[in-house]
Amino acid sequence: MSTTVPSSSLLDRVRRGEAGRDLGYLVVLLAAAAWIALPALSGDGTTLAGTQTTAVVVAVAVAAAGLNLLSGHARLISLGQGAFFAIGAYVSAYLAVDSSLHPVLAIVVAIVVTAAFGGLLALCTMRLRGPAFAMVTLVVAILTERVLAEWAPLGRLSGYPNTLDHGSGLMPPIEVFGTSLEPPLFAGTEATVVVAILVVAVVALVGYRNVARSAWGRSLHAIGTSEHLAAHLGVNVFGRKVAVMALASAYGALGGVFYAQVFAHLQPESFTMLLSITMILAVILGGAGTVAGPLVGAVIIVLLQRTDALTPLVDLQRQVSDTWYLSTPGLIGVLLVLTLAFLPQGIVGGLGELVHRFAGRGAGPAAVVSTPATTPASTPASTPATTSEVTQVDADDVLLAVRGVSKSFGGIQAVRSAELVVRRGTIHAVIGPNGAGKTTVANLVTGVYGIDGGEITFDGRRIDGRRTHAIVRSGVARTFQTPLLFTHASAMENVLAGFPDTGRLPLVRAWVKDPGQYRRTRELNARAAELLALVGLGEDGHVEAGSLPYGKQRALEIARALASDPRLLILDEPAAGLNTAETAELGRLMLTLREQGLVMVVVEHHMDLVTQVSDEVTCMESGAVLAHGTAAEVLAEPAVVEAYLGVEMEETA
Amino acid sequence: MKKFAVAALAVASVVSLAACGSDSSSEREDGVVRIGLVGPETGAAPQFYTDLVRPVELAVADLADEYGLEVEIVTVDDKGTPDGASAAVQQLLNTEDVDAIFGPPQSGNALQVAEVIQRSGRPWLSAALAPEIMDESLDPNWLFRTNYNASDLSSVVAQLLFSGDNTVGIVHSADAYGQSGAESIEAEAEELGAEIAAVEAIQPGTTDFSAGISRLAAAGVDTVFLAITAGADTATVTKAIAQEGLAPETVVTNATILADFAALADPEQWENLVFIDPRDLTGETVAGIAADYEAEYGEAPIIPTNVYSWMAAVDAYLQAVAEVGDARDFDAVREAMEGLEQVSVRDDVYDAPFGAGDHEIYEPEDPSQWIVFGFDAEGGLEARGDLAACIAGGC
Amino acid sequence: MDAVVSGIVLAGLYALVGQGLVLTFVTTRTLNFASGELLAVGGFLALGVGSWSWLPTPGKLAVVVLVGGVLGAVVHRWLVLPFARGEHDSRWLLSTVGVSYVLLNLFTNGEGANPQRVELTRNPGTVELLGVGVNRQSLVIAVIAVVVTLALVAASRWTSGGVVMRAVAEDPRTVALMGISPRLVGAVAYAGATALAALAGVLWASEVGATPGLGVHVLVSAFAVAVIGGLTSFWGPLVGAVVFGVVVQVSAYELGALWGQVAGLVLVIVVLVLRPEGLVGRRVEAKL
Repeated sequence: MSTTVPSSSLLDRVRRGEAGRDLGYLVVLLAAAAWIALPALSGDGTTLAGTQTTAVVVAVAVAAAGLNLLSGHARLISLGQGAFFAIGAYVSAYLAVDSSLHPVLAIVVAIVVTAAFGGLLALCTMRLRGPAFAMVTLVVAILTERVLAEWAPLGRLSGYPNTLDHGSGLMPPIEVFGTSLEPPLFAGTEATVVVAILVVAVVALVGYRNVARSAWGRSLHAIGTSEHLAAHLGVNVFGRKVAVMALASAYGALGGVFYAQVFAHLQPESFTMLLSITMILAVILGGAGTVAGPLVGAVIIVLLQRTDALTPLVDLQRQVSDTWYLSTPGLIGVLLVLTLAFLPQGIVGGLGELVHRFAGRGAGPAAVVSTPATTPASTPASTPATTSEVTQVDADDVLLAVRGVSKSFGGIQAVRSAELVVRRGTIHAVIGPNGAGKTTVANLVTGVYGIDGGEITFDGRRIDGRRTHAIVRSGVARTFQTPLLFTHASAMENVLAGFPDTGRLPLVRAWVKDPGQYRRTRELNARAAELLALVGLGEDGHVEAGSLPYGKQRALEIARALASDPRLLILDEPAAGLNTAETAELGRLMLTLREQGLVMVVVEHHMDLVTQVSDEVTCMESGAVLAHGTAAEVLAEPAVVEAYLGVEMEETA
Repeated sequence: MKKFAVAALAVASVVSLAACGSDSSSEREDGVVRIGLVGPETGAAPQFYTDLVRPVELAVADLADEYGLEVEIVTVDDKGTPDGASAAVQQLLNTEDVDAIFGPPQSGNALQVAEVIQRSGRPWLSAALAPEIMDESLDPNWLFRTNYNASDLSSVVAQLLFSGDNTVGIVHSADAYGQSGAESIEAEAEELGAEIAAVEAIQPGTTDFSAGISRLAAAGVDTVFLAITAGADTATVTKAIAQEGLAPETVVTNATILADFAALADPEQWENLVFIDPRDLTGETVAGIAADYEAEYGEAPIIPTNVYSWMAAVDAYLQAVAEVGDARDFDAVREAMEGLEQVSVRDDVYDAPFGAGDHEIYEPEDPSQWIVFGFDAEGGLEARGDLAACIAGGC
Repeated sequence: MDAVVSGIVLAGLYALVGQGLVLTFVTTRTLNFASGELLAVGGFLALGVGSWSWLPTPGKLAVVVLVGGVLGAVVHRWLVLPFARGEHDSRWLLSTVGVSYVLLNLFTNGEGANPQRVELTRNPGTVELLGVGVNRQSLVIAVIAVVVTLALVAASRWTSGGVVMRAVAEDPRTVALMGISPRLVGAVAYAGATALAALAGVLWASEVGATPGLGVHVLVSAFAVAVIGGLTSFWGPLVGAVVFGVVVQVSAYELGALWGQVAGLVLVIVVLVLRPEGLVGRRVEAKL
């Protein structure tokens, strides 16, 4: 495809910007860590209560960060993050006190065990979404609460450790490199463990941000937007959901480990449902799906809970009525509802939108200057489509073959022994009245549903029975009847999601963000800018996708589909909702792409477009193929005419 | 980056706001005894806070002049959570620099801070019931308990339960108090060579306990001990006893039944029910406290037994301070408390309440110190006599 | 046998509340996580109207149920509708959780955490059923749960209202075109569900006393029975309740009282994993 590299100053800025932004984030985290650590190291007793509070903030922030990947990005709402926090805390304490494991090793094992538990749970429940998933996590949280209160080896309600079983109510401090990591509990003792916690927390939060902003994070966002979409971006949805659950659990466990180290003693009463609610509230309040959101949310919510900041509000109510008033838990409930109502994007999301609006206005002219060289005006208007005779099909010539495929839904036959043979170098249109089964065929090709009979081959290999992401990875891309976009993200971000990295970047590399990632980001940004330009969106890269006009949203979907460098592109009603000029533009784009060797299947009603671009046409009605041939041949078939007219008469009746 | 900077700014402003809110330390004056109270002012069970602060206020008003002391009360909120208690205690110890700590009243929160207070080396008074709070191996031990503990009550109850040829079953709450109560009675039984036929746990707030009772019935239980924290759960259990037709000879429990039981249960449920408490709950002292409490605060005491225990704590502590003459000499105050000749709650007097190795006010060894109570036909409380008499002659 | 009978009777309370969950789920694809606290509100309302000596008991009960219905409609209008805009909007889940905390806190502060005796529908004592002693009040509740279930099943099958209720969740746009407001249907469903919760609250508070936390344990079990039975069928809660009740009681008899609840919750996870649509729920391969 196009090889022009745009010499864009915008891109240069982005390139320089990424490392700078990463550094900026690190500096902010380090500054916050230093601000917390300095008083903790003073050994001054009056700082202890404050140090404990800030340490709890850090613990909850880390757990909420993990939860954000699960519930904010992938939108799998968990009401049980507190359970993983508790498991991390208890397992690390148990291994260090009751088994002779070195405490550092105990912590590592605790995190691995918790992640495995989360992953296993996900493995069992990943068919679930929405309320059902939330319910499972809720049940796990309740069960965990029960086990902590009832299981003798964990000290039950005597706490862990306790004087009866262990001779002391406190865990011994960890000794590393000759230093004892003391908890912030005793005046005159430097709370050295806080420094260790902060170092680990900074590393964890940098890793979290790396993941959130990587292609891996984008795949979560895709799952959250639509699992259908995510699978079509080459994401193994099932595997990814298990992985993100394990990752979120690991972060929850790490938060719990911090908690255990700070207080050196665990009571089951600390790990109630309210803890899980606190964490999901931190995510929502701060801004679900934003990087800084859960951190901001955790700071605010923990401080509101643990300090007297809400006392004036309680006193105010009590002046009105001394019996009917809300104290901290109730006020936090109110805060939750108000946030959902007035700040659905959370504090960071809301501010981000404001800043974006402000900055967007400023950056506008620069963007215009930077892109004119690559606008689609430069793509050559191609020769008109030549309607070729449909000749005998040569096997090597066939890219996609759907043979005798049937599919029914709950007794309704949606597709009946359908035949669709798509040859290399062609555009193949599928037409037919509404409900004829066209989109269902597209969905059968990309493995959305299993087929009841027949076979589907792509490039000579059977693909029926394979899962969507595998089919997509073998070179099929598609657009959707109603555009499926990240409406709150920029057009650029949408195209970036189309690259194979979304499905293939390993989690470890995303977490570490090796230098290769920076290079890859630059490549992808450049390539995405090219694709945007190709579809006529060269100037709209930074525009929020949801605010683009409908026609441009369709173009954006095509650009995203092209990002995976497919061999076959399935377009589902690409001209729906487009005006004449836009439709003509679309036709030209399709022909350009065909010249570059891309094979297309286009499901379309728009006969002008069909005749303009298609080499072959298949007409369907009631799930079966009615006619097949060149556009002219098919449209001349009496049965086709009747099918269309019949429908029209029905519609007007 | 801008977005992040704005967010950081927002956080910073909240942090400083919150910091302002919590900055309430006050200067201490010389010669004033400063008592720090910690309880769940805003937790799920604020009654434990209310009935810590009010009795301390009442007792201080009564006793400060008597002992010639000027007393200042500082309260902090533990939010009803263990980590809240941890921060609250740090505030009392370091920011408020109190001379003694009263609370936290809830066992879980007390357990969380036990070691920290012990190491701080200041007198600590508690009315929490969980025995684990008291680490008797500590020397010096700073904790003085003016309530009974679950384990002591169990050994007292054991004297009654195993006095005849009974088949004993236990039902305990799935909480700290219930768990330790059941454990200590099992230990007690082992010591006496007696056997416990069945042990069942009840989840607080549970809707039905018939399965648990039917297991007791299957074990042939005729005497039941309930180590239960809330009267409402006791009602659930006695209801199930009636429903399953268990008909035990005796059901023994503790004073926590007072809060709600009689209001919820029907007469048939309390026929054979008795509970044991070291305080004379039908006596004039308790009635007098209730009257003064109601006059001052406009309602009856919510947890009368806690009110009583905290008043005892105030007397013990202020007496010791008056004897030493300096509340800041913590060690001397602790030793003075160990050597107190008596502690009184108004007219009720406890002789030699503590000793060097004894920081519990009530002694399980002496059955005459413990009183057996039951309900009359109208649900009113009646004393049936002391435990010694009951064991000897039945009540 | 004892365990089975008492399990079935015990399940009535959960089925009654679970039926409310199904009612809102069938029509709006949402669940009210504040149902437990609204149940407690029902208990306190019973306490309030209990002193109106001029009103006979059925009248008092009607007042509580009516107020519950209004509260349900309010919850739907202000706390569910604005937070359920489309398939991917699950904010309702958190907004109702938020409300549950508000109500719990408000009533703890206002009424105290200790139980208060409710006389309104008190049925003390035990009755014999198949040779097993069962709690009279639980039996009353179980009978009401069965009646409510039969009424809902009949209504959904044989009345136009029932058809509308099912259709609203599956295709709200078409229903709207037919001149029926999905909002109204949702409001009615919430009103009905909350009225059921309030009724359950009165009956249960008469047994164990009104407390702010009255509904917490009930709701967890009600969720369990609704999920086990299937959130899309009016038979679901009853079937789920029987299975749940029997599993809870049998494991309580066999393993100890405390493990009954745990076994019930584990059963929920097992059902969700193996049969997410519930025992009697419908599973359809959705056509996108």
